[in-house]
Amino acid sequence: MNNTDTITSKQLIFIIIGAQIGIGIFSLPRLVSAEAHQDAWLAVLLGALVPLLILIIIERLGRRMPESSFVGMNHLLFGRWLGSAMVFLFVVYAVFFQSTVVRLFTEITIAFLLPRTPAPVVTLMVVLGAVYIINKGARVVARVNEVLFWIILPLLFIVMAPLVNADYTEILPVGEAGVKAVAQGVLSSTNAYAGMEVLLVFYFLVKSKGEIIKAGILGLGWTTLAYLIVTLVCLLVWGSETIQVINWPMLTLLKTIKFPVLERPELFLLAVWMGVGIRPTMNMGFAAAYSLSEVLHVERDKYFHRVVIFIAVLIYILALLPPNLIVAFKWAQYAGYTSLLAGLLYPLLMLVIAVIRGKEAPSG
Amino acid sequence: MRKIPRRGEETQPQGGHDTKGIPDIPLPQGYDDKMALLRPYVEKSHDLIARPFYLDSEMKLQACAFYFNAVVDDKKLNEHVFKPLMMHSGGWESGDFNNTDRVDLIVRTSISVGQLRKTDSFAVMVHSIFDGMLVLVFESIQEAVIIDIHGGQVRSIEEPPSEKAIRGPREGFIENLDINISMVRRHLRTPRLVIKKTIVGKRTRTPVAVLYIDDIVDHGLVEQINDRLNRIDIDGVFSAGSIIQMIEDKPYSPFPQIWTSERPDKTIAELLEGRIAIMVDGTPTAIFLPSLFIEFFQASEDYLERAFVGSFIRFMRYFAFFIAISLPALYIALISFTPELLPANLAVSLAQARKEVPFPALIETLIQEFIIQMVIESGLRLPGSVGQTAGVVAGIILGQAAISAKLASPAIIIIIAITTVCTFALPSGPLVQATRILRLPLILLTAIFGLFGFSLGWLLMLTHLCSLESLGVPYFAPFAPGRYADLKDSLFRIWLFKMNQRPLSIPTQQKQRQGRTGTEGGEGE
Amino acid sequence: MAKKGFLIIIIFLLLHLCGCWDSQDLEELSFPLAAAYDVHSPGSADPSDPPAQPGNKLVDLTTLVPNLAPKTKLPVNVETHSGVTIADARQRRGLTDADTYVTGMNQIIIIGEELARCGLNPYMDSLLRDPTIPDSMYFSVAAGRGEDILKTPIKNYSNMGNFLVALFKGIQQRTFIPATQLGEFYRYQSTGKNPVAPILERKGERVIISGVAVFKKDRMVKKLTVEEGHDLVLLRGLKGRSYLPFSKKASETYHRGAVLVRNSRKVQYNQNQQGHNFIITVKLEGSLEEHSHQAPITEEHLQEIEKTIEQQVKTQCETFINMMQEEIKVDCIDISKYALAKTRRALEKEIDNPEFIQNANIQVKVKVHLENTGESR
Repeated sequence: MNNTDTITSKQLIFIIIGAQIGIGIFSLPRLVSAEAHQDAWLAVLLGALVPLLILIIIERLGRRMPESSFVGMNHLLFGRWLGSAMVFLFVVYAVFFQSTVVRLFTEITIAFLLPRTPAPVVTLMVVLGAVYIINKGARVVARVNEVLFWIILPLLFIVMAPLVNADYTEILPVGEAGVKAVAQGVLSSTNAYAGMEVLLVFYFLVKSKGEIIKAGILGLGWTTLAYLIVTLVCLLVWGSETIQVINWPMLTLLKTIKFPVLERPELFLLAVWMGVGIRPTMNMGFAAAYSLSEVLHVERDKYFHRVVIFIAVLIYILALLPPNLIVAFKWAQYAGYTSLLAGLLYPLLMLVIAVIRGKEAPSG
Repeated sequence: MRKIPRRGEETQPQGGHDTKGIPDIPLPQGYDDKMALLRPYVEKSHDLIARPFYLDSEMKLQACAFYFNAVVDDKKLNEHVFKPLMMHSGGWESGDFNNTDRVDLIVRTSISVGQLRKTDSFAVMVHSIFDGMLVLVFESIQEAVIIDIHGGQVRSIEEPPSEKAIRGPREGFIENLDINISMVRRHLRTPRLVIKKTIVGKRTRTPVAVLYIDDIVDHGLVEQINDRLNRIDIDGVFSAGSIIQMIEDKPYSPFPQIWTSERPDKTIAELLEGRIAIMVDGTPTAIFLPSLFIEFFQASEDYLERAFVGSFIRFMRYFAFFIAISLPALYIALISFTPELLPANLAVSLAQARKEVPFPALIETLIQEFIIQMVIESGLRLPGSVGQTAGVVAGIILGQAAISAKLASPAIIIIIAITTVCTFALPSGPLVQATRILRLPLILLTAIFGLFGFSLGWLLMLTHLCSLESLGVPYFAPFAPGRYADLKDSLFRIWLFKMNQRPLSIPTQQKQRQGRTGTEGGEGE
Repeated sequence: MAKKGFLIIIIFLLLHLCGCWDSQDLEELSFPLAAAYDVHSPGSADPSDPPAQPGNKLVDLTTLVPNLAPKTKLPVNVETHSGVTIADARQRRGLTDADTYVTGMNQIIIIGEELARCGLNPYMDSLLRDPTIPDSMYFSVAAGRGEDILKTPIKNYSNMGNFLVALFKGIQQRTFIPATQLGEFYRYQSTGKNPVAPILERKGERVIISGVAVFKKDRMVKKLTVEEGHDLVLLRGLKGRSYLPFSKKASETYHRGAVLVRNSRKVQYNQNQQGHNFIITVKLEGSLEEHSHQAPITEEHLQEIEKTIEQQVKTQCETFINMMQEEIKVDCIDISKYALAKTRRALEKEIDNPEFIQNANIQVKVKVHLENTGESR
């Protein structure tokens, strides 16, 4: 493990926030309220339980094998060949997920900012930006996550400005949508909440393992808070039916109000636009590149950037595949479901095997 | 200037004993042998003076003094070396010179100078002559005596022109290393101050001093610095700048990674925070390592002001930094890409102004950018008052005339003017240069991709800042690895009596620097 | 290292040369400050009319674009183009307008009366899809054709667009007329919501607000007068501020005057065998502005004034509610949401039917609170 890849547990908070909050937040209110109607905010709140479960499972797993990296764990539990295959599958999942993220990010960029620029060019710039950051190692990635968090935080307050037009009856009566609807809403939110599984890779890189659970909960708490605020505001301002016709409710939300001098609050969002959309890509991309380079026994110092470029090319190609926005949204939903597989079932499987194989957690 | 050799390669030992041409042989005993060895050097330099004299009245014991004219202090030379030696010549007996300690005898009884040492190495002796020392060689004594009586003209102590203080001490460093060190010593009297001298540069043989406070600093950093200084393999050190570029972590970055200052009070403040200072002979600048990004926004008079005022000004500097880099790019992004983000009436008036200009917005901006950079450069080259007036006149006339000739719209003139003013509001020279450079790529990126390009450019810049390290210490702390306690002195300037701990961002041994009551406690002596 | 720098420079140059695809300078744009949509039936012998399906109407797009050219007499350019749809009309602009048409800075949209009665969904759809258009755009209906409003010359403002924006910006603080923004209009897509909009009318050489339009979902169903508009605002709970005159003949004293009040409302809802019951409490708070009686005002006097106003407003509101239930049959006062708040799923289907509002029992209560009497007693 290289010195440039160790991170502190405080930085882990920001990595988790960055891995989860990306462009998913823009379409989240629409996807969840399609199922859960006026209780979409409940579904969003409950949706946080899934990553919480993932966090606990991964932490238990890591505690049993604190000396092994993610690849090492796979090798220990599944044997060399099957273990490497599992790592490859994880990398494939990460690449697929990120390609949907990049594609949607490009779509929003082209729709709002650059209507005539060809999509491959915009995608290329996004991917190049991610490559530049990932190349610098986990430490720099963590620092960038932290800085971006503070810069994007004022946006959360700006999003609450449209509450002047809010109508509290839109979320009443609470709970009337029914358990089934809320559960389906939780399922739709998996795309937004995905990202906790990067902990599988980052667990090994954190120096003080004891604080990981606290960091994870804090990070997840912030994500949930952000999602909850956005969903609530969207619901209160528009109502669950009107949201259905809006592709990206959070962006349109910013257009409903006028600020005294600058008139358009989207200016703040768009000025940090790249920082908002690239965070999941850089975190999950790093996790994928790091694991891939380890399983292929690539020398970290010299050839890491080649692995990064390889992964970037894959993401680039996959991101350009869907023929239109509707298909891209569908792929993103599938990616969300796959994240349940990779985030919930896979570590659970590893944990079960670890218990069977008797890998005891070290005491203390 | 040659590169610093890669880690792991052969290091260059100190002192330059291996410099080609000066054999490191022991000095012969005989006087004539010594003179023969020294003759090639005397012939080449007519300002190298060889002054023979006799030690005894019988004219049997020859001695010779070698020195460079006007490099040694004539008065001290005559009064304290020649006079006692020659006056005493009558007192020596030839028998006195049969002892083994005869050099000591001469030295301790006759020469009334403070700094001197002996050597029996030819190379050391020659180097000492060329370093500006006075060298005495004696008949039938192997050792030569090296006496340090530096003289020559030096500048008087005056206020450094680039770091003016409105209130505060007006002392600044001068070019002489020893006097600079004395300035620091005089105001930082702790016995824990360590000053180590070394020599850098094969041919210039510039003395360089490393200062730190023993029980505060992290010794790992000291070792790194010594290591890097030793590895510098160049011909000549012309200024502190050469050393900076040699020991910086990432010389390719536009951001300065090493903080410099010409003021002793700033030096002392840095030393007390746990940093290491390097001072180079011939330059009135002191170098500090490790350096952080926030330091380039701190000016020493911030600490003399009241806390609120200081915080406000500190905050404005960060804002000025942001504006200095981004404003022209934002203008292009809003005008050429997403005009709907402008208030409608502003858009109308901007459009009407721009209608008369034949260039696209990007070209207009680049032209004005170029003009203002040239104005700045010419202002620097012109002497004194002429330079300032020329700058103002050029600015006003160029701006006004450009608008009348319809070569620029009033908006771009205002924008460039604000940008330039903000650039020069930054307190640190290297940072000003950095902003001048960084503006251009951001403009170009924005010209292709609008606000998306703007955010991309800032993201890349932020990442770059986060990845810089100074001696292993993260450069962008306390922002990046989030040492929140350090924010007290970064974005704002908290009351001095609350700054109880040294900055967390710099590894030190002792964190507490103030007692809780705010009175300056002892340093654990 | 140098190779990396070289590569970056090459990429830069390539990108610059291939095209800054979206770069269009501000002065080459034509951005409308106000737009009006109208319809007319094809078949009039206008040769420039585009071909249309028989039976379908053609839309007219009138735009008010500031004139950017220097030294011209006309500060704005108002033009009308027709097309099969709005987007088609925009395309036809391109034949006469040299600059690129950008919609993002539009601040007002005026809908002609005829178009409003047709149902606005197909025509307003482009506004919803365009990502640059802000939802804070003002939305209003024109009595007659919207085109006439925009073509009215205006003297004391730079152009009609600025005048209308200024008019709508503060209207709710000057009188009880609603100023609707586009975002509010779009909420009709939720069950139980029906927007309202102010009506602009051209009277000779002036443009005034002459009433309020009531919509059923996206179709205008009734034009209210200004007085009815006042009642609508009070009942709908839109925060406004206005002068309200009152008059009452008492036995000896004759009260006549006006108050300056802010309004707010509370709605209580319950459902029982008699059906849906709503109790709307309109609260007016403010100060006394004008009074005809000379003697200083005592506390009882003030309370009498308050009661007078309460009675007056209550009568007016009840008349309005009767009209709403009998004639309009649309919930224009936004009370169905309280019913939905209790039982959303059950009511969702039926709440938009006219029977719901026709059979609802709506009571009005008014509370007036005068805080002070101004400078004199």
